[in-house]
Amino acid sequence: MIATFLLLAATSGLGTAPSSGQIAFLAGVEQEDRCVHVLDLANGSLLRVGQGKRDGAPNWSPDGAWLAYVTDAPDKGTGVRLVHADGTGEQILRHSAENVMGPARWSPNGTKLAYTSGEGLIQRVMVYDIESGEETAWGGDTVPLLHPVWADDSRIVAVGVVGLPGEQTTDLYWVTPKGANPAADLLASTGIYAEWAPATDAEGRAVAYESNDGGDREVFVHVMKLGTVDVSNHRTPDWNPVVSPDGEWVAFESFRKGRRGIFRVNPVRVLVYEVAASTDWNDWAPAWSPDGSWVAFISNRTGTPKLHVTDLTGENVKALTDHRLQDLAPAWRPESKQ
Amino acid sequence: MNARGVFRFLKVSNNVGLCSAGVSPAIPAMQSRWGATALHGPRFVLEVLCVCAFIFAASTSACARDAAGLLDIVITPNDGMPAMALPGAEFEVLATAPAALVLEANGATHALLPEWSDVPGGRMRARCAIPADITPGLYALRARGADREDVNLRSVYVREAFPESYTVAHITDTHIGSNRNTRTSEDIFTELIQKVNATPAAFVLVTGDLTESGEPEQFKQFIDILNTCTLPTFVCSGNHDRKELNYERTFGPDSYVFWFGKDGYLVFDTKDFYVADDLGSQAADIQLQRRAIKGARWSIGASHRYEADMGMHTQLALFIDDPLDWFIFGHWHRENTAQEKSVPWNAPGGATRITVTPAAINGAMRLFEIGPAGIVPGEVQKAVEVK
Repeated sequence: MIATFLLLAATSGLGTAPSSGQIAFLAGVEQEDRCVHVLDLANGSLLRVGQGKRDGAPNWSPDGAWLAYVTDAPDKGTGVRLVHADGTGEQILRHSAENVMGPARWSPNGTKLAYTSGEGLIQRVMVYDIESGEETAWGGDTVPLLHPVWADDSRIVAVGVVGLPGEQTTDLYWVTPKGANPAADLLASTGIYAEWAPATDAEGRAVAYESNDGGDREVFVHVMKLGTVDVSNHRTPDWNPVVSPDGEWVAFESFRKGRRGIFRVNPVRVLVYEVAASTDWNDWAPAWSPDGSWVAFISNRTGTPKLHVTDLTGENVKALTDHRLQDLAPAWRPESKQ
Repeated sequence: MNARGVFRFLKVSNNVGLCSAGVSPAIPAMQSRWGATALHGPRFVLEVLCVCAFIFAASTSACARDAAGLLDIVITPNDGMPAMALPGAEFEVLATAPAALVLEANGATHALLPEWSDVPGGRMRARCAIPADITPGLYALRARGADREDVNLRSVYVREAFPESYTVAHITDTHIGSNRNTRTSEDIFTELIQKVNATPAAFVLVTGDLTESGEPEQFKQFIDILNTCTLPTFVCSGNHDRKELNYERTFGPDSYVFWFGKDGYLVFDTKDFYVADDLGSQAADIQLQRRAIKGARWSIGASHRYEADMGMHTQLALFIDDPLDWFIFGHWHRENTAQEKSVPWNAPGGATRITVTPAAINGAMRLFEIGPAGIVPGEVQKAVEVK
């Protein structure tokens, strides 16, 4: 299952790149054969560690020991697999439902995984306990829930689908084992605008999300004790916020230069800086390095989506792969246990 | 020869191009649509000879696409994504290499003046102005590159006008290469195209599952039959068309926008769950394309498939933040019911309405009437007997 390649990346692209660390990402010709890969920045080696059957976005456990990703299940449907960064120790999780929708996200203490399962929009948040192997539903069944992210080890923020068919919209919900409640503390209003893509930092200090409150899609950030602020505020759509590990910055994608690009904003000072953006190509899927000084991302500046990295100034962009595959969904390995 | 004559010859030429299907079924449609006089007697023979001369002239130096039926120099416009424009208007050409471009119709040529610019991925783009004094009609686009040339016979439609009210034909799920009925899929599609040719439609949407399994020879068969259509044809792929990058090699981009007068059409590919996938670049492309038709009188989406758990950024763009007026698709091989009249999402002015047309492989098609008052889907027509 594991194949090793030498990267041409060391000689491609411009600028400098971090000299250590590992980045997991998807690579494939098309969706059917997407596979989780791990790039070692120290030596340029690239390992194919996934199953390679419609693999979904990989996520590192907080200690960096495991990767979790949703992929085709052995018999039918989809399920979560765990694997080490070197491709060893693969575990296939057992689920109560046939279809699991990812990404599977780790709780801050690394003991649980959250994802959804169901049919269509009728999804429930499922939490898998790594030690016991038990899967339990969180949030009850009063509202369909999508896109769960952990706020802390006992609470999840998810997107609830509210309203009758033809009148549905989305709101953020706090989800616990006991039920789901509208996250009125995060939102300016509920039931009016459509929220999506909540994201949190590693310690639950900030919750970022996108909403069409304001006319088009904007990025909002709720900083605990400070309240919620529209941090992107532009006449073009801004979406997919990603909070830096220290909670200082929120990277997000914006169309303000005509194509999809990556920007960053400090949620308190609310000043937006360009990280990678162009009028000619798309840059997307930002992933923070553990120390917050680099951003890995995907760019199709050469015509095919490829893994890139840049410092926060955006002046040192470097291509990290040079293969025929399309790269997607980078995730930087946490630093603590590498 | 007058303008209508030129156009009529090109219409006939497409039928001649499919010799096995014959030419006669499409001729009445041409007469009604373009006001042509009756084609019969010595004049008919003369016109057919002229058409044959056009085909010969267009095919001696190169054929449309390459020998395998794949796109060569010009990626778009092509016979699955043609340009429609008025004399003097511009259209965009996407190519693999810079080339001299010429519009050709029945021996007459009109050189274009492309100004090429680079596109990421080693491609080139040019805006091309159609000569203001050109005769409306169908034109082949010939590209002469440094070492080769190609020509696409059904790529540029120069129109006299874009009427406020018009008809659109919808075909979906042709499944070329399948054996699910007594008649072959090719036979059914051929007759269906003849039936479409007899309608007053301004153009045809063909929304995916063009082939049974995405094989190159199936795409080739599909194109051969598609090119018997006397109307502009706009295609997208479906889940059955996903085999390597065969669709892209055959028709180019997997999502695009075109205008018919004041109305904007966004045609995109759902493949299997391609747009359910927020990971790739397509959600951004669709966001930009949706914004490109924001000022349209009617904004109409056409795709192969819709499921409520598709990629949310695509759904946000199309149905919530900037809702389409109407969304046309197939895949279900049945009509949508009265309970399935819209996408589930709330939007100012009401949720985006949907219309699902049953499969062409089962002989079905549908016409839409579009005008100032709105978009009116017609009844499903069981146009072809498939047993």
